[in-house]
Amino acid sequence: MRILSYILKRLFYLIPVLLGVTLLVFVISHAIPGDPARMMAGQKASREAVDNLRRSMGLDRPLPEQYLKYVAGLVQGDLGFSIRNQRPVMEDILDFFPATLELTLVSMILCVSVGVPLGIISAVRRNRPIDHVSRVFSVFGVSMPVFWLGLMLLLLFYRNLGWLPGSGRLDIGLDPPAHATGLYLIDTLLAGSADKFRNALLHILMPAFCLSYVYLAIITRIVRSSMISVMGLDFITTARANGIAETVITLKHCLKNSLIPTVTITGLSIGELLGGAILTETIFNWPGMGKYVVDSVNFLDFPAIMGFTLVVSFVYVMINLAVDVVYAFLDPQIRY
Amino acid sequence: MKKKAMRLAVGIILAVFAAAVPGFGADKDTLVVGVSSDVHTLDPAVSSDNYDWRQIYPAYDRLVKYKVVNGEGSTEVEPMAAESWTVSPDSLTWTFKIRKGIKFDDGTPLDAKAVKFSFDRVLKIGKGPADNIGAVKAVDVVDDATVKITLKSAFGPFLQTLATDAASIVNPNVMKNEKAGDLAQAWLAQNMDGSGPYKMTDWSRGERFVLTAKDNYWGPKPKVKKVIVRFMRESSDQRMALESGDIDIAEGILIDQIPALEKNANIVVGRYPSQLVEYVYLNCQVPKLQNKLVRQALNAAVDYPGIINHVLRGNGVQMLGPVPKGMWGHKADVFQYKRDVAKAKELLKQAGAEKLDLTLIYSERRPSWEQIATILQSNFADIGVNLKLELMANPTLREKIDRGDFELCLGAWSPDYADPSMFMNFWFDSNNFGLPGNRSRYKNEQVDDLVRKALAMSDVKQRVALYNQAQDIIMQDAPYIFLYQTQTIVPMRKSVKGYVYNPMLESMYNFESISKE
Repeated sequence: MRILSYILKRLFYLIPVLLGVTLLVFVISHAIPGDPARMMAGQKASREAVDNLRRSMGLDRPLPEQYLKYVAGLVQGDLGFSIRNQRPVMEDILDFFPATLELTLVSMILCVSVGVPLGIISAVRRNRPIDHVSRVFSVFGVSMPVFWLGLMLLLLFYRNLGWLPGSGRLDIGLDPPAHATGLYLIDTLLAGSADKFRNALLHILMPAFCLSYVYLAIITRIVRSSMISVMGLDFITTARANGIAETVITLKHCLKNSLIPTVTITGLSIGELLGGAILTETIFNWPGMGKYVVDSVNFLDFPAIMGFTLVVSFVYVMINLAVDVVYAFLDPQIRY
Repeated sequence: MKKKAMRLAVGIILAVFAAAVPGFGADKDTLVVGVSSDVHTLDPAVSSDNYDWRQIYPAYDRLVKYKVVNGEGSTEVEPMAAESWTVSPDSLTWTFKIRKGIKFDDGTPLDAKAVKFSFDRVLKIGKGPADNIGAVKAVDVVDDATVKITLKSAFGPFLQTLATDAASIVNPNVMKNEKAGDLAQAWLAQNMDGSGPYKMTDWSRGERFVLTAKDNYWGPKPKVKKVIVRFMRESSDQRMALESGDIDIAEGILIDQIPALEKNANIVVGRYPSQLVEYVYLNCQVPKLQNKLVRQALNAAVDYPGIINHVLRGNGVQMLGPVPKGMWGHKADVFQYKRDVAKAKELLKQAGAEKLDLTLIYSERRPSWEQIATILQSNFADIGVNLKLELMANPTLREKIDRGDFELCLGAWSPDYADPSMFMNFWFDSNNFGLPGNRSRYKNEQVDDLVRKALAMSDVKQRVALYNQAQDIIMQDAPYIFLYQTQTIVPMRKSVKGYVYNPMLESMYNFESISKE
């Protein structure tokens, strides 16, 4: 019950946080010199054409009025109208967000399913060859520039070996599956198309690996170091003295107690990745939020920039909340 | 148990990999074009962007189209939806006979009413494209097959403007989708309703745009049944896809990767002289640059061949005068500056402007600008001019250009229709200060007079004579540094035939006449 009221309280705090974000982004983006109406009207547009555009988009109104109008729309679930794409920002986000979400989910699955076991093995076999190999692997991951890794993967597996398809979410000739969730891996299954599912899976492998590698490396290192520190504690020695099996000690006692930093990092990584991984999306031509927001910034598409920031802030806050709740489950000493 | 699970896992991985599919280029009915920019809006009355026009243009018919002569694009026009036309002696009234039997997808005929609707709509909406057909005063329906267009004043390039994307003929029935008096803008931003050879069958934002040929198109049948425009921002991604045969044409491959591509036997790299020019605006209103001797000195300091060889790797030619080669009205014998350090120094001395400090602004819009800026800095240093470079975001740059808040600025320009006025009137008429065209804020009443007179005439010879006269004055006044005319480079698979480059349709394709072997 207490946790429930905690969650409700946190959700209530969401309102001032998001309002603050909109105000901040609104002020900052309008402080940049530049005129979106002029960007939209084209290179050589006459003054009249630019003025017409400015008026039709309401950009000629005073800034406070524009902001209040925006917030009023927000209350009704309206994220505004994209200047560049000439349609509601919500529709844009619904088109671009699922691609990012899918990539993030697959990357995180890769991260956790490889990173955690690797961290455990490293900790248990500390300073043995396998620990050295895993440490080299993670240092490599943390220090490798993503654009270089992405290009090398494409060059090797797509162009030279031909084992994996090139960029994009599906092969060029394939029609996208009917839109249900926007996640191709799920939509293709819902449509009952095994071929397209396989194709979508092959397409996501390289970008997901590329994206997960950095976080995978971080998770491996964190699991390793927190496992090592827990392994030195008295209760582990006691457990051993009691004759509890080593596997049980490692997986139940050590791992559970060293998971808190791992959960923190995983939560933060998901939040960060959902904002769109611009480089990975560019190299693998992944039509996600990263590409969308970069284009919007270059075009001074204010409503799109604000809509994007709002969605990302919302996701961040929610993930932080989820992480805090998970803490309570992992460590009974944490109470809210 | 463990072994079984292992075998299952290996089995799944093998099955997934076994399905890796070969290149897509083998399909003769489908053309795949890799491009670097997404599509934003499909409304011909709203978009001023060639990357949008690439998709819009083949879905609509226009009254006229550009002629293709011996497989090459030309800047002259010929009938399309209009069968023939006549013009009144004062060049103010144009009467078009419309071809019978052209229908939109819902069976509505393309007639005089549809033409009037489309033109009125563009002008009423009044956004960027309205400038392209801005000469039109009124459109009147004479009968179903005859439409009369009256101009505000005689306008030499009028016929050419009818081949622009803005003049696309839209089905009047789109008004059924009108919302809150928007003239169906919201609907046409995401849909198409034209009578052209192709229609849209899929648009997955950020991924691809699919055009499918119509079986009942009134003109010659398109050879490729399906065109897939694939959005791929990375140059190296496009290159790998082209080499693997996943795409047939690649539009955005960087110039430094071209030599390697040319070694591939399956790929042809087409080079076409374009009308895209790059130049430097010298703000004639700032005190430091008001003296034309200073502007002449800057012009004489630049190493033109050096820039072309270094920045473009030879893929371009120096501009001779403001009207580029290939456009009628180009004056090959006009005076042009070449690097002459001694003369430039002498000019600065005469102007009393030795030891000059100037600032050049530019953005990252074009990859060439950074390099050009550095070369200019070193060229100017040779004549004692200290050039400060300032890089900024493109929207900020444009704002500064419009306000005239700069000394020197790098720019690029390409014409929307085939007429020298796209250069002579836009760049030099003092009514066009700022972004509309006269970006160096140059004012010379004699030039104003000449270019305005030339614009109002339809006799080509007389117009050329007036423009020539203006060009001679301009080259002496030196309001810009004319750098070069670029080449458009289009790498494609050898199997692609019939591609026609038209400098007026930059980044657009003649999908209807391209075929694959």
